[in-house]
This record gives sequence, C-alpha cells and structure tokens, in this order.
Amino acid sequence: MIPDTIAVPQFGMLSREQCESIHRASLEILRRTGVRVYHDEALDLLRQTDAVLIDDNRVRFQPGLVEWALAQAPSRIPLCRRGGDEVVAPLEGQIVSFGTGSDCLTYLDPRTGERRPFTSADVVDCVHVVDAMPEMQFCMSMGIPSDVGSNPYRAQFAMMLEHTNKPVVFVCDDRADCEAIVAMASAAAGGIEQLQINPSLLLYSEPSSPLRHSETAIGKVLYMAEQNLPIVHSPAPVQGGTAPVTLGGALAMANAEVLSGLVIHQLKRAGAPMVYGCGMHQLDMKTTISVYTSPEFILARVAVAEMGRFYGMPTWGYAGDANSCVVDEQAATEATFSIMAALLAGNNLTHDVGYLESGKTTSPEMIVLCDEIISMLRRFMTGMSLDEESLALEVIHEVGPDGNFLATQHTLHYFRHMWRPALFSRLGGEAWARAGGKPLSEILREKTVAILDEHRPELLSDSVHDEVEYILKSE
Amino acid sequence: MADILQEMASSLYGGEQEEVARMVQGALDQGMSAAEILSNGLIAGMDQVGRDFKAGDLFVPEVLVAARAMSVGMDVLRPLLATGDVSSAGKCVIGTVKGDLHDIGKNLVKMMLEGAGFETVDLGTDVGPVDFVEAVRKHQPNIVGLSALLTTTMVNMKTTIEALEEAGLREGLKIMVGGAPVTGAFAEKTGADAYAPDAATAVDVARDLQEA
Repeated sequence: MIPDTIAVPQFGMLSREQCESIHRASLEILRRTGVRVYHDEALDLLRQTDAVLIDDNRVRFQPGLVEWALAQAPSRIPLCRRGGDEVVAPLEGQIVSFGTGSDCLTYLDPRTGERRPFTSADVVDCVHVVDAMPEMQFCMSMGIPSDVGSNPYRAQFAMMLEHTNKPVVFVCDDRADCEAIVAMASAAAGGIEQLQINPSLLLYSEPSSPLRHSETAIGKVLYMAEQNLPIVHSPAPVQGGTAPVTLGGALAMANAEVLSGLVIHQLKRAGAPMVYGCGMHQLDMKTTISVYTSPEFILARVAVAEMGRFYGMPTWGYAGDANSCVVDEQAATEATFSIMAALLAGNNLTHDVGYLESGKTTSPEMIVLCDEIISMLRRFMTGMSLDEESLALEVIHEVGPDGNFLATQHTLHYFRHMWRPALFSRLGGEAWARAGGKPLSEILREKTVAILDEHRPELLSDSVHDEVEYILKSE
Repeated sequence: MADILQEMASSLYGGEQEEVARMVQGALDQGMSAAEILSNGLIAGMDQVGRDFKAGDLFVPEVLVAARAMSVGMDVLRPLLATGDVSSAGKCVIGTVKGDLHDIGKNLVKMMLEGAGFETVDLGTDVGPVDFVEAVRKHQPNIVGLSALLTTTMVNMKTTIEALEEAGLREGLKIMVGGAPVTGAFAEKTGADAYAPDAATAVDVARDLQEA
C-alpha cells in the first residue's frame, strides 16, 4: 500500500463495466464463431469438456469453461535470476519489468553504423548490453544469428543462458526445442524442480490470428503446462489485415484467442502459470507494415494491462520499440511514448526494448537509450512525498527570506534522491562545447561500444557449460 | 604528526566544521606551522573534494559544506599566515549588480572561493557601481566578481566596470563576471578580464587570474 503522504501519477482507461463488456464480447466470439485448434491432444482435452467441435477442429466454447480456466490461472509469476531464488522480474500488481525483443534479422552495428544480418557474435554482444543495463530485467534474443546451422533457437537460448544471469523469455520452433531449452535451463538452475520453483525462463508463443492455434504453438504450450513453467501465448493480430480495423473489435477477437489458449493450457495442468497478453498492431495502409508505437498501438497496450488485471493475471507489454530504421529523433520519441505508457498502465512483462524498423532491426544503442528513458520515467512514477520532512517547514523557517538552501542539512540529506541522468547532458552551451560539443547520438555510440568492449557477465560453471554444450550437440 | 593533517583533510571532506577548527588548533599546539597545516591539511582535503566533484562522485551541496569547513579552518589560521604563505589564494570582493536580487549563483561562487582558500567580501545583492568602487577602495581585493541573473540587469556589469575605471581602480584589479545569461562573448563586451560558466569553474578562473 502506498501511504497517503506519497502522491504518485495515476492513470486509467477502462472502467470495470468496459472490461466486462470486452469480456462478454470475447465469450460471444468463442461461443458463436469458435477457434480452430490444429493439435490432436488439445482437441482430445477439449472433447472431455462441454466445448462443441465442428468441422473436426473448430471449437466453440461455453462461457463457463472459459471462466473456469480464468479462475485457475495464478495471479503472480516470480521470474528469477539464473541459478538462484532472487526474483528480478516480479510479474504481479502494477510492477513493470523491461526486456528486449526477439529474433530480428537485421543488426544495427554501433561500431560501424552498418545495417547487416545478425551473427552469433552480435547476439552475444546484445546480451552483454542487456546484462549491463540496470533497467533491463529480462532478456529476449534480439537477433536470429545467420551463421548458426540448423536450429538458431536452441543456439540463441544457450547464448542468453551463458551471457546473462537475468531471466530469459524465449522463442522456439516446436516442442522438441522447448524440451532442449528447458533441459539447458534446468542444468543452470540445479534441476527441474528448482527451475519450477524459481522460474528463470518463460516461453513466448502465439496463436495465429484470426482465431487459430497452430500445432507447433500448442505443442509448446502443452509441454510448458506439463512442466508447470511460465508462458505467454499472445496473438499479434494486425488491425485491418488479420483483425478488425477497429480497436474494440481487434481487442475482443484477440482476447478470444488468448482465452481459448488459456482453456487448453489450464486443461493440461490447472494452475500452470501464464501471462495475459496480446500484441495488436495496425496495418499501415500505405506501406503495409505492421506498425509499432502508434497511438492505437499504445491504446491496445493499456487495454491489455487493464484486462489482465481485470482477470487477475500478470500482463505482457511492448515498449522501447520504434518504426524508425535508425536511432534518431523519431526512435527516441516513440520509445519515450511507449515506455511512459507501459509504466502508467502497468504492463508487467514489457518487451521489445531496442527494436527499430517496426521490429525487424535491433540496435544496442537503442537499448542503452531506452535504459536512460526508463530510469527517468521510473523516477517520475515514484511521485512525491508530502510528509513533514518533505514539506520542510522547519528548514524554510530557519532559512527565511534572505537565505539559501544550498548547504542546509535538509538539502544534504535529500538532494541525492533527485534523479540524475547517466546519459543525457545538462551542460550549459559553453561547457558543452568545451566537452566536445557532442550530440546525444555520439555519446550513445561511445557508451554502447564501451559496454560491448568492457562488460563481462557472470559465467556459468564449467560443468553447467559442458551440459549446455552437450544438449546443443544432441539436437 | 602527519596523522592529524590526514584526519583534518578527512573531516573537512565530510564538512565537519567544529572538528576541523579543533584539529587546526591542535596542529598549531603541536607546533606545526600555519603554512604546513594549510597546504597538507585544509588544501589537501579540498583538493580531494575537487577531484571527486569533477569525477561526479560528490555534488554541489557536499562541496559547499566542505568549503564551509575550510573557511572555518581558515578563520583560525589566517591571523597566523604571513602574506607569502598563501601564494595561490587571494582576496575577492563579490556581489550581484544593481537591480538584481538574485544571489544563489553569487553565493555558490563565494562559498566555492572560500573553499579554495580565498578571502571573500560579500556585498550582497542590488549593489550599485558606487558601492563596488567604495568596497574596492576599502578592501583592496585582487579580484572583483560581478553576478547577474537577469538579461535586464546584466548590462549593469559594464557600468560597474566603467565606474571602477573612472575611479582609477581598474589597473592591477582583475574582474570576473558570471550568471545564467552571461556568455564569454558578453563578458568581453563588458570589459571584464574573465568569465566562468559555473561556480566550480569560477574557482579555476580565479586561480588563473591570480597567477596571470
């Protein structure tokens, strides 16, 4: 509870009645229209309920079944640091944890400024940046390495596991990948039971909008449920393409996709941990790209945070991502907008920090820039104190009309509570010119390259490293 | 013997005024010279403060409490120092120019200068050219510092400097100006010898003026 002597920024969009109306709309989509499920075991599980199957794999749901599943899902998921029980991303309440995005093909190299295909070395560099940045609470792969043989996902996971002890949100192809990845994470955790009680990984998978659950996606979802390990099964409908162009319709449909996924997940193992999320994008009708960080994109993020809380589930978020192809004014504007919205709305597991080109490029400089923006806005979110010490009537009286507050004990005691930038300049014009007259982009590049050159994460023990290598080779 | 100077430097760093005054007296009682106490105790402590401030580990309020402790220590030492003992520091008359009541920047500079061992005479705010002239006659400073916050009052820096010239006091006197709207180019137009963009730099500029 926040005491009433602390005033914090507050924000809200959906009323309880509005959440209920979205919920009812989704229940009606699930009853009347239904979803396709391309997975035999999931269909078998559904046949044992009062769901109705038509055309072999199109499933229509009773409201009661959906609400049963909602009642099973846990309200918190404590994502832990690798190899221990320290929670670094508590997915609960309105706490926001930030992390990167996954699987870009293009890397924007801070050393050369070149845009080029991702390599394994680039992924490792990017993971080092995540490890070094204090406002990054979890890691996603950022890039698909172009120089890895058959299975980039297992290789990516091994790189993340080796190069940061922060929790990893992973993407992979199928159930077999999931098994290999969980085996690697178990090795680092000291066994599957340790991994279950101190989860340091979370699977990201997607329904395929509109209204489909693919065989590979459900294969992964069922395996993770069986293992009692956390997932997010989040659709990415594109408004005007794979979803209605209107926000309300896209939200009702995406919510139906999430809830039907949740039913299958909870039928496999009631109480298995799942993050509530959907990533509604908009189809840009000029370029046909799937847009990030538009006003509508942000409205959808807020709705997801509020619907998730309405359901009592942790929530998925997007921030620090841009449509711009480079780290420029547009990227900084889009990043600030999305990060501020994520903090105000309270999306628990907020990913995609560092994305450019609408999710096709990752830039380490963008991650470093976002870290500063997150730090600044986190301070904003802590608000102001109005207790006796903060109101400071005693010191005001002591100093009086002609004095100053510079070297009072009160100033000395509290001035370090004020936020100070690590990156942004506060120099006056002449001092700035003397310091080289550098724009932020140049300072950002220097700082990022220094992190790449100097930061070295805590390594895995030799025996865990060998086990991970063994699992990778037995593909 | 050196221990008490190290402790003095460390107490000064922490802004402990009474401790510093007590230790200066203690060191004198042990037979140390005022010059030795000044350079190996007080100035050694302030040098560390200066280094940590530039490195970003200390901030203005901490520098100011250290400077205040320095100034308290100097009050004990000053009567005992021969003029030749304090080659780097000097005397500075400082004030905010006519029409301007803003003094936070001027106070910052004053405290920083005192921390660096300068003796300062603070004329306060809204100080007219005549008052500056009188103060220079009376206190015979090496440096005059003029401050302004307002673009409307910064022009009074020039009239103050002209008044000092007319009174025949300009020769040998170093004048430095500063304040939020003041730039190097503007400072040159006023006829000042030097300009500093902030209080920390002002100390370096004052030292350079002394040596020039």
